[in-house]
Amino acid sequence: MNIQASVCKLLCYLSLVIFLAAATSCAAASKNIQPQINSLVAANHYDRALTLLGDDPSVYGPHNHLLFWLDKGLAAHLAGRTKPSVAAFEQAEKLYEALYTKSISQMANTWIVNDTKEDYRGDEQEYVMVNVFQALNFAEAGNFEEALVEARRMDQKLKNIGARYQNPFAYFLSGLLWQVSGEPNANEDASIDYQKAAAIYESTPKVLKDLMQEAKDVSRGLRHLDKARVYVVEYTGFIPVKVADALAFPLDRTHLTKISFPRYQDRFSEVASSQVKISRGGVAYVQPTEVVCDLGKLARKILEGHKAAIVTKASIRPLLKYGVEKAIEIPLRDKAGDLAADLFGIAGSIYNLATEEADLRTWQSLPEMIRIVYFDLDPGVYDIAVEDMAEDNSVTDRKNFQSLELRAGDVKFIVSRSRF
Amino acid sequence: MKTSMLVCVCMLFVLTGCATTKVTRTDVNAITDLSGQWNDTDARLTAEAMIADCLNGNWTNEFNKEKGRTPTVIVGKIKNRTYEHISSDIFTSVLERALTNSGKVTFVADKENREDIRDERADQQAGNTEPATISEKGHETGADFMLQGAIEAIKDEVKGKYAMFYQITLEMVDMKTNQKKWISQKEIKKIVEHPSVSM
Repeated sequence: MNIQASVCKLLCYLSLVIFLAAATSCAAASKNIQPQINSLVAANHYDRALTLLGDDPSVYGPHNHLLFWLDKGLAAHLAGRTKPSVAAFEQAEKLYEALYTKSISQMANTWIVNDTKEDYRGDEQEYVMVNVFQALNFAEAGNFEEALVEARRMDQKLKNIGARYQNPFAYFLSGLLWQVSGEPNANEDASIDYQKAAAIYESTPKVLKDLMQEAKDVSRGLRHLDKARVYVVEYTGFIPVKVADALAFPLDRTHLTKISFPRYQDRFSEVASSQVKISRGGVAYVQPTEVVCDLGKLARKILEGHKAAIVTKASIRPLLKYGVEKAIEIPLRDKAGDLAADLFGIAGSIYNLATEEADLRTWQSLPEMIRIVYFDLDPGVYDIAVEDMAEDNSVTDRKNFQSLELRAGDVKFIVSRSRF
Repeated sequence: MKTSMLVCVCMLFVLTGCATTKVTRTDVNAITDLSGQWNDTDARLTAEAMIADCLNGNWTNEFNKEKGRTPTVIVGKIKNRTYEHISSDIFTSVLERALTNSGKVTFVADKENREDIRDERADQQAGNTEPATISEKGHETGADFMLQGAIEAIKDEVKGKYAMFYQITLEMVDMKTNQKKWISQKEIKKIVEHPSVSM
């Protein structure tokens, strides 16, 4: 064996060792706390989730900063902490804009290692849901002017998203915010968004039909001025999680590889329906909520839409890795012998099996469903209870909002989250 | 050796995945457009344009001639009709300072600050303050004009590029007659482009 062959062999081994170490270094250096956050949010322990999240997005790993801000924004929103929620979602918005520019080095990593080596960009639904929650943050605080800023952003984003992945609830909420805003032409603007929502829904919710009629009927006035309006928005269930489908197979005598791609798996929710009970002075009104947004269904549709590209990439990448490994292995066999080449092949197989993993990242604290109901109430002080019910109509959970003081002309938004 | 080079190139790509943050301090008047959104430069340019327009306007002189004193102004609502959560306080406070320092206008505390001042005044009446230093209630100065306005925006966007047009309108409304005595507009247009790739 001459000196050149020895140097070549040494360099190949050294490169492989460094390459493997580098490829796994970022992941190994940082632990992702997202599963713990999801568990805390599922158990309605929002403050504990916020404490654990802190302010450093690196606790979600090097490429998951967007997910950190999304989870933080939503946990704070559910905890009723408007300011930190708004701030976290604003960070997410800034990151979305910055992430438009793709890093060539990260793109290369997605071909060399796997798709998780690239910054998480979220899907079309998550991109819009940031503004939905922001709008509801401001609406809950009674700041409809700033809520409309989010409605404008939603509208702009929805224009840029393909028609297939439109979220009708974003238009519905936008219309609702216009309607209560008191802005000039509020009803006309609301009607435009309501119509867009109705065009996307497979079946138009009754609550939307009622509000569309109200917006059209300008003579009834923008609001019931002698009454207060209360919108109760409830999030139930959890969006399905991505799990990996994987298939390992040999490429030749010494090379094994794997193809792995994501699919959605449902998460159990005991909430089959829900109702809102409003009481004052021994008199109670009860109304069922209506599902106005099925985030799980849209998430599946979006993944299906992208699946061809994901599977194609997941199939080509192992072949590219195999090509590179062969390009090293063949001269190695000539210069260093069969044993060294076979060992390299085995090392390559281990690398392939270890690194070929599906990108399972999603905004997992998102609810599966959004339900809504509204009431027109006389001025007074009310107790409100949001009750979740199982298939057999038994009440499984109750959230109380006590002593809500309403004056004539008030518009109030109440946001509630089911357990599981 | 070619294959080793290829592996080294791959390795470089992996290693450049981890980056660091760099902070540079700069002059507060420097134009810094990072995200393309409304920023301190826009607020400053708006305030400068509005100050010049307001001081050159005739409404203060007319008021002075009629009443024999400078007008008292209260800052009202500046409506945000944009795609961003813009705080109008930055340019209204610059405007307030410049107009007050010019001696042509007197400002009184706005709705939000007024509540704090009234709370403090009420506290002075609680028996803990030296009587000679107590500010009695009932002596607040009423405003002659209210400064109102709106920031509006139009966004035109295609993939990776957008044009943002802001129109800022301020009006001085006579509190007695609702007449608009001064109207000023400032327009700002920006084109923001994001590169699709970087290293």
